[in-house]
Amino acid sequence: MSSPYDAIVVGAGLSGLAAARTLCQRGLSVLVLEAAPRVGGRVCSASVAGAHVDLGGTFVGPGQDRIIALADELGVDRYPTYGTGDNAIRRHGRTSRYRGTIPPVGVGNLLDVARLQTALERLSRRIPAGRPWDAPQAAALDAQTLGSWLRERHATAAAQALMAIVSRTTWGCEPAEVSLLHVLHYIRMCGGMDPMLDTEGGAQEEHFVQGSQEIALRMAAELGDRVRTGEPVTAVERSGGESGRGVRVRTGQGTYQAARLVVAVPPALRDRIAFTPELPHGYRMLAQRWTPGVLSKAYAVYAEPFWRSSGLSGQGLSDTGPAFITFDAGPPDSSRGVLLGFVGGDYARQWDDLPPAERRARALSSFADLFGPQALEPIGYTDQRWATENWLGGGPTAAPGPGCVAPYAPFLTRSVGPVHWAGTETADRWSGFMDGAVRAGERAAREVLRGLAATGAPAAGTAALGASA
Amino acid sequence: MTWSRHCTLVTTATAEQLWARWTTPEYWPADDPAVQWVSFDAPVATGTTGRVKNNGSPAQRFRFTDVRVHQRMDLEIRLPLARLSITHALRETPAGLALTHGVELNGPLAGCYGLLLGRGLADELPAVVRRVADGALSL
Repeated sequence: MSSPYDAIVVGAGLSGLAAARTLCQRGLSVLVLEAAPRVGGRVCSASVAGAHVDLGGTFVGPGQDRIIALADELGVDRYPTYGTGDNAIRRHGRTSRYRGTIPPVGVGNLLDVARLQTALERLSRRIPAGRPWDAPQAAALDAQTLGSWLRERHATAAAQALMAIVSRTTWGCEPAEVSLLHVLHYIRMCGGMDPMLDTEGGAQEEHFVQGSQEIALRMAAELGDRVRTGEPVTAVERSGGESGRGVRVRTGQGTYQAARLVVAVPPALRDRIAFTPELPHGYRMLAQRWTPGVLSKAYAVYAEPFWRSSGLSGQGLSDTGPAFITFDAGPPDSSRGVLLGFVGGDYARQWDDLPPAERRARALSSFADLFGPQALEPIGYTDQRWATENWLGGGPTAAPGPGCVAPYAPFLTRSVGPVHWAGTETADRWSGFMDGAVRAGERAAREVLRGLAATGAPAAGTAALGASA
Repeated sequence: MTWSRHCTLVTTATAEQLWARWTTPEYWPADDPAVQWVSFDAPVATGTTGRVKNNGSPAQRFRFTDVRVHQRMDLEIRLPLARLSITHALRETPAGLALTHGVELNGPLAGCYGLLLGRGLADELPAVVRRVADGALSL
């Protein structure tokens, strides 16, 4: 058995690494245990035909102060998402162009979208950030889905289709699958729908030059051998009960002791760890009911961004699928053309199971629908199916269904003795985004520091544990 | 007057697989749930006739108007003052075979039928084309 640590962090995604980095900066002894063979969690980068691509979390925007500050500290640069020119839309078997965020779906439909957006934002302002269960009529809101609310509001077919795009991109699910309370809380945590959905001035405004995963890699490099990958935590024994005196953490490779534990994995993955004594019932229900969405990404790399010369931005929407929303994700020097297509919800459930060559053909088919036949001749291609990732289970974030938020959201962040929780789902701002992951990790680190101070546990590798440890 | 909508999906399925999917009546209801049954009066060829029964409407006669093995299969249903063509085409592309299904309306009332009938058919095209490709890959 190893010497005791002040804190052990489970999960080396942005949240876990941010927690560990904060604790190390305060002089604490920390160990990070990551189940996967790499760090980054839901951020992952790759190089395709000489172009960098982000397979997971990609964009950042105004208000996402923590991820931006962290990237600045680590020397990871940003550049604006390309958005010059017309956007493309494929709808009812026809492709056309438009400008701005909302596509040309007719005056009546536009008015309906505005009506629904206003209503959603008004409702969202009643939801306390980080405490959706305290919202007025929380249970009633939680009993509905986004889809049932849209139908109840007599949303037009076009407005429902647009909201479906929002739902697939944001939560990786169809509107009929996600709790309305969760949707409202999410909008609240983003400061509105425009900040959440826009490119310019919104959450899609910028990319990281070196890639999102570079932030995780640089944090891991700072932490050095404190980070161990390929070592899943299988069991946690809370040695001091609810008073918070320490934990014993088991993996296939060893047993470690610490005064405090930060679990920074998606809520559904918490269930992979056997806690002794068992966690209160609500935590287990949370793990079972806060399942991740299904969102995949397809990248095609071209010798040049050919769509730009046609006056197209590379941003597109399609009701045909499988890629239902696209972006120009090319490098800042435009040395390559890169189209990114999101495949989410029902589209992803069908597409994810296809053989690799067929996934490629169909993704390119989507790009060609929007940007012409040149899209069928990339010099490189890759895709990422987050639902097939064993240690993540899906993405981009949890998509709790009706009835799962009001009763179980309190267990997202409520610590259990020495056990604290992180991960983007536990954030009270920009939950579901990279920024939320960093915020949650830093919040969990503050909890650990407060906990150690409260229990009088000395820091820096001399944490006192009970006799059983 | 002509009203038309098309949907294309690029697939790695072979022309033989896709052709089998198009020309086997038993696959039609699986690939398009709106179809209850279809029957051909003879092997598929230009000029062959048949009957198709959609859910919620009486069986209708149709005629294959352009059939080229492993390339094209169009059929036509006559409507009052319009003709409804359902087109199926295959084309080689650098990424695979482009499988295109289309709905075309011709005649004096094509615009009206397009609004009443064509748009609903066109909205179903992506799912139908996807099912045809999925089915072809499984053959």
